[in-house]
Amino acid sequence: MTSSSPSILFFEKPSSLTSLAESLLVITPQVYEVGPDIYADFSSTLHLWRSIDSVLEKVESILEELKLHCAWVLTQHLPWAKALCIHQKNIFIGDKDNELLFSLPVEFLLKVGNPLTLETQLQKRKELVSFLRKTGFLFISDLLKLPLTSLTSRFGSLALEIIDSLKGTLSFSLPAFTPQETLSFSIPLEQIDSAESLMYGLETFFPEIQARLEGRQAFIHTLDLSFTLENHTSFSKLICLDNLTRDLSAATPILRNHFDSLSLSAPVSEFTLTISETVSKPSAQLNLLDQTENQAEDLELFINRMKIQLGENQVGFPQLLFHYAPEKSWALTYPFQPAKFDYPHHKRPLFLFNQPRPFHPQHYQLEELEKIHGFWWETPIHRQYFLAQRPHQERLWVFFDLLTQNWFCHGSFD
Amino acid sequence: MALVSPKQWTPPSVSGLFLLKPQATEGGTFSAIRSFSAEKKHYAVFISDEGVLYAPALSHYQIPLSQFLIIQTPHAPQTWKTALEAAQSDLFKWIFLRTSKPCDSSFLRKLQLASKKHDLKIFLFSNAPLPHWFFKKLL
Repeated sequence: MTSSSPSILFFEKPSSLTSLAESLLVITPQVYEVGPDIYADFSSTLHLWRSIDSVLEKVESILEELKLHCAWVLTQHLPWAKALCIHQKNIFIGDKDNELLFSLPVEFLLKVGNPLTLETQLQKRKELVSFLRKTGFLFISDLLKLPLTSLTSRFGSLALEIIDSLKGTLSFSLPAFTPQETLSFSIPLEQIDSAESLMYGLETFFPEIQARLEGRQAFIHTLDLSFTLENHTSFSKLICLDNLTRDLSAATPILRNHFDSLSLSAPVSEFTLTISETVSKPSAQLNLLDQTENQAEDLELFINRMKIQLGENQVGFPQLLFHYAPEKSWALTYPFQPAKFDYPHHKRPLFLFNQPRPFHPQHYQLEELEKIHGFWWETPIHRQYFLAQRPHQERLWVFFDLLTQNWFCHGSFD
Repeated sequence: MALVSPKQWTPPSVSGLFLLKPQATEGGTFSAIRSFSAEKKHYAVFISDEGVLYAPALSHYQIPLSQFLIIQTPHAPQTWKTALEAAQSDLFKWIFLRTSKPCDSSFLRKLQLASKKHDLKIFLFSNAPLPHWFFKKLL
């Protein structure tokens, strides 16, 4: 089974498909619209986001801005995504998606594979599932117990494709999503009984407009306001914005003034806001001094170079691990992985030596600190820590090993 | 219990190469690294062949861990070489070094020049005898 960090997002039947696909472009350019579902692969942009948590945070904010409540998945492999979409939110870190997938009933094989061909292979897949059921193979993990030759002789290339999908080695390409349609928003008739209600109706679209423009890397240039009146006449008004923006709330006073100055011959039956012209500018051009993106790429290159020179575990950002032993309570990782907990203040030093060094407590003034006792089922640790100091010298964090009856210096407060 | 160094110095606002001796009277590691806690934008790197910074303590003192790279080197010459590479990469505005042995003065001169060119603050924690004229004075 190939294991990698989770970088596939899957959204099952979102109510506003195009809006979500466009908004996801801000996370990665590899967004795919397959039927009513959306897939996004952010493996190529993960280093720019620094951590998976930042990507998840962004996804949550997009779903909130678009007011979407679709089920979604974060997993390692694209062919697994549809089958793993069981709850509203399915986040799999580590190999948990692997474990869940293999524990699912064989019926879920209808959803494992290349999303473009799932529909056309449906009949054959149903035959495969029914065959497995009849022969007493109830779970996906059971499929791998069958000899590949017997599967391929009965189900041909489909069996091979499913096995490759389960192993995470199936390679295929999906057509990339490109935004096409003009950004247009209509206010329902029942919301247009005054200029105030019209503004209120418009404001509900602002977060969606902003999210979609961010995905398109575009800014509003011209707004087209179209009114259709109950006497079947219609007129429109173009508004050009001086400052490039994605946030229409900045243009609220202009819109409000425009609505206040309108004199209509009949009640409005339909109102449409269209962003008729946008200007594309990559974010780097907005501020010549902003080098954030380049810096993240350079940092990744630097870290990779250091890892080659010094070793995989010698370079990285500190990640807190939940462990009572000071030397096991952190690890170096890249990209950065934030911890979900905080340590209490132990009055421990900032600097720890690579390995505790032999120490002679003579001539030092010792002050008793904490005591550490390990669990009985682990490598035994029984230490009494002290602050060791003497005039004009480094203040040391030392311990007396109760097992070996030896003194060691573990860190320094200075 | 006073586990924080007694000598309180203001973190330098200017770039340069600073030497701090790990001694109770000097007040090195804690004060220098604590001064990075207010940093919101730039990266820092800690390079050492002697040991590492204790991450839970860094987190306790609100050091942004996502901006704090740690590099463990096998020996002192590699520490100096890596520090120079980090300084010349222009990726870090704060560089912290703790080495077990002194280096050739040409390394110090190169670090001094890199700190000036790239506007870096380089803190060296070492009890090793080093030529003082390369270092800026900390008040």
